[in-house]
Amino acid sequence: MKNWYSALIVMVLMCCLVTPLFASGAAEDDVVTIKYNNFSAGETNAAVLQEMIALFEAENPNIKIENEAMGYGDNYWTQLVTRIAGNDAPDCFELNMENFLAHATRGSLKPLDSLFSETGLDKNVYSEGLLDAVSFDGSLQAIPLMFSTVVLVYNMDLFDQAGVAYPTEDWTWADSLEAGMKISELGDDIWGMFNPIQFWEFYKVSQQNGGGLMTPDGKTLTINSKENVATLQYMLDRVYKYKVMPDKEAQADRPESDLFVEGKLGMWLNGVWAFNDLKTRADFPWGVEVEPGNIAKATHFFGNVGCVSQSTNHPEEAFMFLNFLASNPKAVDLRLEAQWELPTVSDPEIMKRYIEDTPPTNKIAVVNSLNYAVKPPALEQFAELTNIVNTKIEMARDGLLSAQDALDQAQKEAEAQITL
Amino acid sequence: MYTGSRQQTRRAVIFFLLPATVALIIFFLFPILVSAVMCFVKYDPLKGFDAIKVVGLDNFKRLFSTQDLVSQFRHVLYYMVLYIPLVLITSMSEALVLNKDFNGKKFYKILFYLPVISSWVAVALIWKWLLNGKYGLVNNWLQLIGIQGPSWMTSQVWAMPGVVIAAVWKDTGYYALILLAALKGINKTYYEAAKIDGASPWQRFKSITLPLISPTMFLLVIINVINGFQVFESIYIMTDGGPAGATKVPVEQIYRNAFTYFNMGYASAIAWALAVVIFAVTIMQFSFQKKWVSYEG
Repeated sequence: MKNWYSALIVMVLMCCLVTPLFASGAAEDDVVTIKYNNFSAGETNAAVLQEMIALFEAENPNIKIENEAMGYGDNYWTQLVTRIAGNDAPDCFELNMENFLAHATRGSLKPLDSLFSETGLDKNVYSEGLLDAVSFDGSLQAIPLMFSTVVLVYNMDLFDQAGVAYPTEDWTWADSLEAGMKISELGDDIWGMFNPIQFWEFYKVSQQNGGGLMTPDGKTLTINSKENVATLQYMLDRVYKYKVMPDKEAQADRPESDLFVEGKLGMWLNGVWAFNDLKTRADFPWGVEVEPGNIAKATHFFGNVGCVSQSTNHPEEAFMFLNFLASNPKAVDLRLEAQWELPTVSDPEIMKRYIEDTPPTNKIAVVNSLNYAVKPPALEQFAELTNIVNTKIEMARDGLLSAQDALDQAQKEAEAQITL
Repeated sequence: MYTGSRQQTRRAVIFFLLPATVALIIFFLFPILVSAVMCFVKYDPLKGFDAIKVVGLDNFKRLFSTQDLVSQFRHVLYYMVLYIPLVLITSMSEALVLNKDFNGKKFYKILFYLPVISSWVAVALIWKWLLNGKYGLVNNWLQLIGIQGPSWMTSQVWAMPGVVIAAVWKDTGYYALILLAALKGINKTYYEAAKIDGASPWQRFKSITLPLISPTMFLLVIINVINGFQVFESIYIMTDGGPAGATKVPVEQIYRNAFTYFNMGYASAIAWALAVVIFAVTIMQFSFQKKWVSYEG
C-alpha cells in the first residue's frame, strides 16, 4: 500500500514537471503577441518601459507586447545569440551600437525600408545622423530608440580655485592639459582629469590625432601608425609624465564618479547617463563641454536601437511597436521625464526642453557633440579586434610595454587573426 | 523490500533510469559529439547553419600558433598552485575541528557550509569589495599589522591571488565535509593504541590520520585539478580576464570565442584541447598515486 502511495506521489510530481511543456497560450486568434527582448530599461526605467508598452497596447488593442526585460549584465547578448541560433528569436529586440554592427555585418537583422513604405510610417521623424548610424549596406536595419553622447564634465569650483577659464568648444589637448596641471596643483589627491586608458577611449582619441585603426577603405589595419603611437603616448603621459590623472595605485579602486562627486576631479569624460547621478550627489556647480580634440575633433556617440528579427511572423507589428517606443510623442515625453538617455526624434522643440533642464551648465554641448561623433568600424571580427588592442593598451598602462611595443604587438596579432 | 521477478526488476530499473539517461544524452552526450564535429568547421551562430564551412584542422592550427594558449595555461597553473594547497589545508583544518565534540557543533557546520550554497555571483561581488584597494576590509586589516595591501583586482600580480582567496573561502566547507566523512571512517582503536604507545597528537595525525584519509585526499586533488583547469565563473565575474589579460584562462576563452566572437568552431577546438590536457594530467596523477595513497585499513 505504502509503495503504491509513493508511486502515486512520484507520478503526480512528474505530471507537474511536464505539464508546462503542453501548456498552450490562451491568446485569442485575433490578438498578435510580440516578444520584445530588451536590456537598457534595467531596474531604473522598468516602470517607464512598462508605461510605454501600456500606451501602445491601448492604441493597438490587437497587439500584445510580451516584455522580456533583462539587465545589461544578465548575459543579455549570450541569450539573444543563443535564441537566434536556436530559431527561437524574439520578434524584436534591443541592441547597442557595437552589437548592432556585429549583427548587421552578419545579416541577422530584417531590413526595414520596405516596412516603412508598407506601414506608411515616416522615417524622417528621426535625426538624419541617427538614421545613417542604423544603416548598413544601403538599407535601414534598425530603429534608433535612444542615444547619448559623451562630453567633458567639469567641476566649476576647482576651475575657479585654480584660476582657469572654463572649457570652450574650441579647446584642444594642450588647453585641457594646461588646465589639468593647474588643477592638480590644488592638492595631493586632487586630479586635473580622468580619461580611462582602454580600447574605446583610444580608438576615439586616435582620431582626434589624425589616426585610426584602419585605412579609410577598411582594407588595411593601421594600429601601430605613428599617429596612434603618439596618441597612446599622450594618454600615458597624462598619468606618468604630467601626473594630471591618477595611476592605479593613486586611484586605489575608487570609482571615477566618486572622485568627481567628492570634488577631487577637475575634468571627467562621461556620457549623459551620468547626469542623474551627478545631479543628486554633486554639491558644487558643474558644467559640460564638447570634448577637446587635437588636430581634429572626435567624440563618442552611443545609441540603442530596436531591431526586427529575421524569423518573426509579425514583422509589421514588431516594427510599429519599435517606432512607437522611439517616436510616439507620449513615449518621448516619458523618456524625457525619466531622463532615460535622449530621444531620437529630430523635433528641435524636444531638444530645447531637454537642454533647459539643468544642471549641468551649457547642456547644449550634449547636442553639439553629435557633430563630431565617430562610429566604431563595421567589422565582423570587431569584438576580437577590441580584445587584442585593449589587452596591449592595458599592458602599456600597467608599465609592461612601451606605447610603441604595445601597438606593434597589437598590429602583429590582429594581422594574424583578423580577416578584413 | 522489492520482490518482483527478474523481468519486473529490469523494467523497474529501465523505468527509473530512463529520465536521467535521456537528459544525459540530450544535454551532455549530444553537445559533446556536436562540439567534436564543430572543431573542424567554421560556424557563426548569427549566420545560421547554411553558412557552415568545413575548415579541416585550421582551428587547431590557429590554437597552436597563438601565444595566448601558453599564457592561459600559465595562468591556470598559477591558480592551481595557489588554490589547491590552500583549500586542502583550510578544509582539513575545518574537518579536524568539526571531528571534535563541542557545544554548538551543528551551528558551526552550517556556518562553514553557507559559502558553498551561496551563488558565485554574490560571492564574487562581495569579495571584490572586500579586496578593494582603498575601502576594502582586507587591506584595512593588513594595515593594522603594518602592511600596505595592493589594489588586488587591478594588479597584474595580485588579481589571481584575489580570485583564489574568494574561491578558497567559498569551497572550503564542501571539501571539509568530504574530509570529515573520511575522518569519521577511521577506527578509533588505532588512536587508542597509539596513545597507549605514547604517540603525540602530531605523530597520530601524521602516522594514522593522513595515511588513512589519503584516498580521499587523492580524490580531492583529482577533483581540484580538473576544476582548476575549468575555472571560469569566479574569474569572469571578478576580473573578466584582466587586468591586461593577467587572468585569462582557457574556459574564459572558450566562452569569449563562442559567444562574443561567434566563433563556435575555434571555441570547440579549445574545449577539446583542454579536455585532452585534463585527461592526460588525470592519468598521470593516477600513475603517481601509488607513491602516496594508502588503501589499507
